[in-house]
Amino acid sequence: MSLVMACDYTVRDFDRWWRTTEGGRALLRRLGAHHFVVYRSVKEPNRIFVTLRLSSSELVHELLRSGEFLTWFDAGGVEEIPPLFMGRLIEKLRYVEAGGASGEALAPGSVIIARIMPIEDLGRFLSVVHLRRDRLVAAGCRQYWIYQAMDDPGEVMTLQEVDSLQHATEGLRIAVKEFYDRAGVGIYPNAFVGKLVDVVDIEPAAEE
Amino acid sequence: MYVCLCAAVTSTTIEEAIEAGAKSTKAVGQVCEAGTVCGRCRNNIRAMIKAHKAPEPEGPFARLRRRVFQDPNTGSE
Repeated sequence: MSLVMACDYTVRDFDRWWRTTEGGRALLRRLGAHHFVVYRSVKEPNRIFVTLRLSSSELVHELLRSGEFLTWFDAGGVEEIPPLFMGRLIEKLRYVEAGGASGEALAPGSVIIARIMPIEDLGRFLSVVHLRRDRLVAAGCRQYWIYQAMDDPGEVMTLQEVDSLQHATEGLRIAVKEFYDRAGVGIYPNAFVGKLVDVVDIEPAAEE
Repeated sequence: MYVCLCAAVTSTTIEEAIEAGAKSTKAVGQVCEAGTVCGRCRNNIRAMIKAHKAPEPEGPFARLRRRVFQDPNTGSE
């Protein structure tokens, strides 16, 4: 099962931040990241959603505590440090053949909806997602990934690939709406609606 | 979620501190170290304290139940 770190935040200037990610790759390599995926909000041009696929969680605590991770946010001119989700993939539902070969790559024109939120009854949520397959497909959903937080079994991150922005902003909101009432409350961000910028592979460090 | 990256403190731990009575970022920091290093996560800790005080968001079923069972004379259930 994949271990993923994810973060939803706003940088001061997207283009400037994107150029600095080159320098941040050494840190990601030390974290044991295979690749990172960057999505950019369609409505807030400097809001980004970043996911990192990791091989293990062993080094995460150590690197967080070292303060090195803050340099990643400093590069984007981020003053307030956003919360960081870390969890494992528990469901990967593919409704239509979509996406590319590399992890979460999306089909052209697709839109991603990302949510991080607490779910009171995860079992029921998963059942409802399965039961409403037809409704989700009719609402333009191509793929649905569900991750469970490692530190809190009642917290999930969902990524939905939707075929169009119109579907992302209209139809899909009602598909499993009753579970989304905690999104945007407290530290949980509002739903992120954006497009894929890039999937960046992190080459492992060369052995000495 | 990891809220305080410097001390690697998760929202679960901060929630426990708030449940135990911590009502300010300083009090949360005294319990679990969150927000005590660079301090750039304190707004998130404040948001958690505020959300803890706020009533739970109401789902559509609760609203429907209140509408159906509300006493038209007194407005109570």
